[in-house]
Amino acid sequence: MARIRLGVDVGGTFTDLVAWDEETGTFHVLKIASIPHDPAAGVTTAVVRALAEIGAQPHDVQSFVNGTTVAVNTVIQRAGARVGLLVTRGFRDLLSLRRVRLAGAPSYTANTPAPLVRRRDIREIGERLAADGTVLAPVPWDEVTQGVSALVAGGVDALAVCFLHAYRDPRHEASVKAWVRDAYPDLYVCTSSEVWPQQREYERCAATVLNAYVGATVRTYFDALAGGLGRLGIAGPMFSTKSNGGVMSVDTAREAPIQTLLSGPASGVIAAKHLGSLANLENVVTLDMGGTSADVSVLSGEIPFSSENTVGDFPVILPSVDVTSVGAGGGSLLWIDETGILRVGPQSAGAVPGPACYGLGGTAPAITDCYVALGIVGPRDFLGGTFPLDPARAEQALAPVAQSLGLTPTEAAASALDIATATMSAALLPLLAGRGIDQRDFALMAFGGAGPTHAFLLAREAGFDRVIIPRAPGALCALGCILADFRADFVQTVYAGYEDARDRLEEAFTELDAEAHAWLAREGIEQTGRALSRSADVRYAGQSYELTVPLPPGPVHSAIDALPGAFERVYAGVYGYTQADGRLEVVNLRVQAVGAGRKPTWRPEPAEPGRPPEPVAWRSVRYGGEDRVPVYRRDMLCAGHGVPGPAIVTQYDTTVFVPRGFRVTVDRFRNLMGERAS
Amino acid sequence: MKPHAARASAVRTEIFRNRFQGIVDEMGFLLMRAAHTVFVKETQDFVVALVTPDGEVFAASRKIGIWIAIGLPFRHAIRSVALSEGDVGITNSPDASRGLVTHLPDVFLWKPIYADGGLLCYAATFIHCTDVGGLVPGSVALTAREQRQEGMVIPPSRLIERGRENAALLETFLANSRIPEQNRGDLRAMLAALDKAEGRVHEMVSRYGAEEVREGSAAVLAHAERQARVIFSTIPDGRYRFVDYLEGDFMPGGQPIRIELTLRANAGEIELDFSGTDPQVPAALNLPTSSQDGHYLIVMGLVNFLRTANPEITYNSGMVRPVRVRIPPGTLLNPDPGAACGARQATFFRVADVVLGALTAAVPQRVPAAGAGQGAILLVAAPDLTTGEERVSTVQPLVGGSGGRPWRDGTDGVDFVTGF
Repeated sequence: MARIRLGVDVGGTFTDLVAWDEETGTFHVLKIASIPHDPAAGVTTAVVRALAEIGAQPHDVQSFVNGTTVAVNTVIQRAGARVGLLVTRGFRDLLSLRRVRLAGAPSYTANTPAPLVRRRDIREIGERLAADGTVLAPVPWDEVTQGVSALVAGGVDALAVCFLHAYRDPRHEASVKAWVRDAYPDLYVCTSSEVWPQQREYERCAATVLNAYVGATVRTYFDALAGGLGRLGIAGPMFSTKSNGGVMSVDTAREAPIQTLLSGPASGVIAAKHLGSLANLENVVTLDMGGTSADVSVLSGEIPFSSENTVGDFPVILPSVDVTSVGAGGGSLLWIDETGILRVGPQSAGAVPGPACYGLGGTAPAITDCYVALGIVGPRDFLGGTFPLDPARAEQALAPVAQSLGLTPTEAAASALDIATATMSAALLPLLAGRGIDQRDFALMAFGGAGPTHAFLLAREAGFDRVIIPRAPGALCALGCILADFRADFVQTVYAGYEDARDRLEEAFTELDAEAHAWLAREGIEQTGRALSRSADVRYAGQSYELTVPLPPGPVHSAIDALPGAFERVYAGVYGYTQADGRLEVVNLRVQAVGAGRKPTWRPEPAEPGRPPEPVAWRSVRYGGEDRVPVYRRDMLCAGHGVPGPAIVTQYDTTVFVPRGFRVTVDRFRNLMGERAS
Repeated sequence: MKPHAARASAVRTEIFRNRFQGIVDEMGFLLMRAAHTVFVKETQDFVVALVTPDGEVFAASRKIGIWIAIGLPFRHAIRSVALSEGDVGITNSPDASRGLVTHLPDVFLWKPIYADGGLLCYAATFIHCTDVGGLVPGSVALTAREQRQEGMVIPPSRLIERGRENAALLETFLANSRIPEQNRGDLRAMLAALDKAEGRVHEMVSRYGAEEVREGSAAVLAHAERQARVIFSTIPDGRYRFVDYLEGDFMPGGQPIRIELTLRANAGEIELDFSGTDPQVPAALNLPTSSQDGHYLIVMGLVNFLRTANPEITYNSGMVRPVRVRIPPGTLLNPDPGAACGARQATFFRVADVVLGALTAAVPQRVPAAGAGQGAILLVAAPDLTTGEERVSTVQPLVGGSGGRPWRDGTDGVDFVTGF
């Protein structure tokens, strides 16, 4: 009997599925068009097809992990709930004032983004805590009663509560929530102290509101999905991916939907980390190049996290896997500016109509059209030929751009690839240098639909010597769903001088540890599978921005002892100097709980040295003047095979382009390992 | 140009534009995060830039910091003090820098970047320093009658010599401030940002060669200039006049102060002629520009206009190469040396309004109405009850909102002039 674990990643254009059979250790990959108006239906369609293709039954499915863009799309399209908000008296305009900066300036078209909550749906409550948590004014219950009943009568679907200094003491928020639950059992309500109890009023309030805003959509999606899978007869537990690269039960996701906001890019990084470790590579820069952007993440042994992310117009300070956009994606459009300079992006052809070569009505040239026009990607390469690409349309779309440059369409396409590559490199190199990293010590792992096509070009420009193309690069996020651990973050704002507050720090870490263990227990993780990691947000007294400093596990007091030394090392690495006379200020303490999930075991294949198979075709690539480039099929390349560039490797979910100067070999896990040819 | 040369040049310009932008963005990020005063780290009243040996800004951060780098006239300041490799220049003198500095709190640093034995460019930054001494905490007093009342003046000098701090100058400067340690922290952050830029430019040199980088800086300036000329040439040729007044309530006599502008557009060239503007005033409202062409606090309305027409315009001083400035000496916008100028932000807000007014006469459908004007800059000064030290913090400029636009309402609580 098969024991199947399913990972499904729902993107804007494609829904990707990876099925892992625990019994046989085999994988199956499937990519189908997403159903934007009913993403859950897209998932069930993919599941039905995958089970049929591998000949498994619904009851063989042991677990199901889903990554979804439902939450992020809800914010970007502004299609969420009508949220009511309770704030401390005097803070009604918190969401409008934001950080008092006009994004997009200087320009007379700049606008301040409209808040997610209408001003009339924000009620002030005359409660107040001091910064140390003492009560200055108790909750005036008549104001709460009247305010909430007016909001409900006015038609709000969800309620967010964000009181001043609630990160320090949740009592006022908690008592209001308890009352609302009691009085309006059907009204979704969440508080800032449970969503993310971190100091910084605007950002904390924005997170609370986002959570309430996306809640209904996320719950509806998971209900539809559970219903659909149930009807198929799939009874195994269901999980959702998280922005921090972990998974959580769907019940947890329903309570804290904001945790799914940035889960999409996180999953790919999780898979990359795992595959890198298998190949004995701790130092990996990931390149996830999809339709609209190229995103990178830097892994040096650990998964990097960031708490300064944005979604749409709003900050998200919950820790997310640190992924940075460095430039164009396959759908990014070429254009000529008014002085005749060729530019690439940021406008994108999107999923519809997509690049011109898709033949879905797009007429503007995109990066993918350049690959196709140059012969790097062939017309029948994609999805086993079921998704044809039209070189004539690509050239036609490139013609006007080429004409204004005085070039042929293929010359213009080659220039656009040069610009896209240089732009990515220019954005990537400071990221690496800022971390004190030399790219020659790192391998570039490429995935996403266009990542493997562009990876070697970027490696050549940015100075990477090694490139890895994993086995299913076009479905790596779905694979990440299967590989993810349970993972949850906990924070306490302490905001104290290091020397004066050792007791406070010790107490806070002890409490955070307890919270973390309680969460792991709720998710059903045994003691033996648990790990906690600690960090602290620290700065020199007088600064406003902290550095997050990892602290050692073990006894709490030894972690606190290690703080000053750890801070100075991180500070010197980022800023290039330290302040010997500076006093340290600790702003937040953080604990991340990790519950190990069951990982697929990869059995390395025996290497079969010898000649690789014959090319399935020869192609002329009009980039770098290559007249005769051999084309190989990825599934015919076995462990031990090696191919020198120039070469093209086609596979179901993407096309790999290996330019002259690089050579790829297949490792025992079927990764394509690229190296500069000596 | 032959097709391949054209392609090479067009591609190279775009590549260098992105590289230079990456460097200044990184400088800004570092400075903001490592700084100590609220006005730098939260309000982000600072500029980071790369500057040609001729003193022209060829890259400036726009996402971080304040966007008033376009048209910073570095030429005179950098020529006033010879800097070797490892030196850093400093000044906050409006008079000695000929309008690079426009009030004493703006402290400028610049560092020469050498490659292959020659000067390639400068990395530069300025911050609004919360206190440089003078009559009042914050060093901005409308009632100051002369510059000497407004704080300590540093003529262009070396803050760092061959990598070593000029301790006499630094400690003298700090001793004149009410918040010496916060200023020290900010200066360290600025120096770190300059070092970072130097390292990044050197990396570019090792990748492309010094000559190529030098040509790249010239190419991005020329590109911005071409883009600006295309947009300016859409303004019908002609003379457009506008007059507005600055409230003079704080002046002896309390007379409104006249700002008169004749904007001449001629085939993509712009002349801003402020003849008819009132003489300089005894209050701290003077704006010492030295009538520099394309001066950054005179052209704000035009920079906004250019970026409105082309949001992707290459962002450097090439944008204002077509802009001539004529301001008679001894007037509000070009006062004689020694004039008080601490509160000149009220003046440059009104100058931006006046430029808008003149543009409205030329292209009425493309510019907004005047905003609320001015930024009320909140400053808190109080003794620290635990240490007894004086605490001074410039907190946040509060602006009344922008003017309406022909195509849409204006913005609440923030204005286009400075973006806050």
